[in-house]
Amino acid sequence: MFRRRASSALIAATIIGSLALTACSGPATGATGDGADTRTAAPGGTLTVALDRELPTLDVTNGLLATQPVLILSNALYEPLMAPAAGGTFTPGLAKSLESDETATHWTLTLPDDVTFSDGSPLTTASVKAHVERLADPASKSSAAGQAAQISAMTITDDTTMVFDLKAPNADFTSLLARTLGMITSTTATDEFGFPLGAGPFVVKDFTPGDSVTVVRNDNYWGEPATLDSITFRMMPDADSRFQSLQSGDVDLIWTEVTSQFEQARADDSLQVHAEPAAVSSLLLNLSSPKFADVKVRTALAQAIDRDAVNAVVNLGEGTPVDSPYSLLGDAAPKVDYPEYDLEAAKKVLEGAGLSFSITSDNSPDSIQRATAVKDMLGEAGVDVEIVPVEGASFLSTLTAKDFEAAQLVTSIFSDPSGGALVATSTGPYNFTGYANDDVDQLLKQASGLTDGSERSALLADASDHLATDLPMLWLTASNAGLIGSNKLAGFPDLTGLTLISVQPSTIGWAAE
Amino acid sequence: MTFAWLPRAGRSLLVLVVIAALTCQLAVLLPGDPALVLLGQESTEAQREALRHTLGLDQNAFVRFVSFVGGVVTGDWGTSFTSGRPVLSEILSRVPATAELVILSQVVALAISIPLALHSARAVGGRLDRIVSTGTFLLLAVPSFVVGILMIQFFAVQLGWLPASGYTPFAEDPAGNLSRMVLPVLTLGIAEGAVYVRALRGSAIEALRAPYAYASIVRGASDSQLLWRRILRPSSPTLVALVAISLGVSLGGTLLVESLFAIPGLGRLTVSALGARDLPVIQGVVLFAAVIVVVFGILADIAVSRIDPRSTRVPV
Repeated sequence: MFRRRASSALIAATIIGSLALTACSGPATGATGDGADTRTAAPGGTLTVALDRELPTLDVTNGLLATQPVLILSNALYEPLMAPAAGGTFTPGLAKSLESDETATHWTLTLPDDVTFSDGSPLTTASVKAHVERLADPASKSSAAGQAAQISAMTITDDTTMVFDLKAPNADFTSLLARTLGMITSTTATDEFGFPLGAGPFVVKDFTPGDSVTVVRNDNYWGEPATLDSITFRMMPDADSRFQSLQSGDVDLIWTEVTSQFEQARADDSLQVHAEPAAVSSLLLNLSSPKFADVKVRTALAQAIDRDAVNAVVNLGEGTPVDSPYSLLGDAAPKVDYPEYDLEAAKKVLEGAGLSFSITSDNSPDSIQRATAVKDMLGEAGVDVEIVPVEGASFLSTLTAKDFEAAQLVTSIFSDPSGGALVATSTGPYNFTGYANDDVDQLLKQASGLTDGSERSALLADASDHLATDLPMLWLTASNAGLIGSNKLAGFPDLTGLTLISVQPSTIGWAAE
Repeated sequence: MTFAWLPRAGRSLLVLVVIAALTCQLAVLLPGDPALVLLGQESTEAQREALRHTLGLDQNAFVRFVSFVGGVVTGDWGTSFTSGRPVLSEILSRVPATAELVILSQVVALAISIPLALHSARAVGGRLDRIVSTGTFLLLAVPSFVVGILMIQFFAVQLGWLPASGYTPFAEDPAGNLSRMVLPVLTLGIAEGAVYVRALRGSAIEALRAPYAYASIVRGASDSQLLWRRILRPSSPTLVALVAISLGVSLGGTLLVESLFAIPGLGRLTVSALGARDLPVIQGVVLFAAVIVVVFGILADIAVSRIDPRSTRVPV
């Protein structure tokens, strides 16, 4: 009897143990890396891509199509006028050129001669104008309405040339045309699903809201035809499930921002990683709170946070510490005198001061983990921190209403130089801290009107120094974001140095044998 | 009979009206401005104000309530802010996936739980009873999504026997549909089955102590005859009520399992609508789920009264 019971227990333990081990064990061998793919992709074939969110529509007016994880789909259907390049710069995508005058207020767009929508009808400057006007109308519910409102007039010279007049100088206007504003859609023709036609290398073949999108090669594409015959995008919000589906071969390519998955994928011969630091995290301090009124306290808080440790522990090294809004901009990133980690110096100010505050954070696991790491570090310096998780849709409203003491912001708005002005100027739409510094306003206003690189970099560096001194926000890290795919895929664009992970899938295919 | 159910129907209708009224307060109660979510942080206040007016968000709660209820009665449940499609179509398009998942998982749960519970009850404290008790407590203690992740890892990633995730409509590909449903159905069914085992086992132990059970044993009935013909029916009212409640609640959306296995059901629709502050869809889903729960509650009452007519009598 006892032997039977013991053997039953042994079997049960073996089953549970094997399940636990298979669930927890990582891939065993091999190594892969990022960078340019030199292999040739054979024409044809299909690809299955797992997106991290549900799409209720494929109309570009919906802000979800402009989010980084979905750009691989948006680019396939609505090739943007501009495309990201290394160091937060942008190069022509669908456009032939986009050039500014010296004031960065008047931008001349030139289109190639033979661009067409997917039904073969011509895409002209009139199409661009109608597209922007549609987005500017609040009734379109477009997430780019505010960006479209920056344009005061559009003057058409001919079918391929037009001029955008901006209400205020904006040297980063190119970046706006890499997302919704530049994803030109027809205002007169729709596909069988009712979505405005685009001019990308793929067209929609099938769409099930909340489930999947299948796109096939656009036979009327004006450029080089896509390598793949079709791509199916599956909407899989659960990050673990996406990765397991990739491991099982159910899908070929996934979007992820989960650092442990990058680590596992790099150790797996059958997978390849295409990711760059793109999601910048920072701790916003609500300056209307008396707790943060003293700059000595803000400096001590910055000194108490070990950004290298945050990167090592939370990002598992899959990222980089940041010290300004411009840290990701490669050679253009300023050298900033941001407070170094110095726990003893922090303790001198904070220990025994009885400082306690809450950190409001979006409720994603990575964000909570990062906030917890910061809480522990501040705790060592004698600060009592409480973390307040907030659901995604409420988070921005909470910040906008300044209904927080401190808040963790994780964002991709620092993918180009315009991000700094969004958070640091007194009227910036992302200025949730209440920070107002006339010098910074002036510096960033001047910078937004300069197209000369070196002069502009000097202004951005000055502004960064002000931010590093005034510390309305404490910088943390930029964590990796991107795609993990089968190692049999070839033709993947090189993402090295990109600050906006925007992949045009037309060159991707299955490696030739 | 018809008149006997009128008060219950009246109460149910009242419940639905209260829920409809509450959902109309969502625009005020839910944090987060739908216009800000839709138009983005860089939009101007004038643009957001114009959109609020277009969407009717500047109307007072009573006007919204009257408009919503009037629309529901006439079959117009409103239009989704994000997709631009009718809300009722959005909901109905998600029902097949959720309904299939829920119904199959209930079949699995009942198929597992009824024999285990009856045979455990027949030999309380015996080997089978101890194994079943330990197993059910283990399953009750482990969240279903953990069971799901382990199943995906074992059956899809390691063994490669089944797809890890995804959904194919049955009409398009029956084999593909069923193969993709195995793991989510087992995940949900096993968890539900554990609850049912606990409930039915307790009732069956009570029934086995009743005089008619002893009489049946004395007359020489086999264990199977005893359990399935004499014990199951009197033991089942609690189980039937549980199944009905579970069906009603689950049909409103099985979020965790739908998310884990990428099934485009009502649960995921609810979450994405909440994230986008798509108020018409949120209102619609809440009302739809409420209707389902109320209907299944009534069906449970009817079923229990048929199984045990004494349950409807007022004690003297």
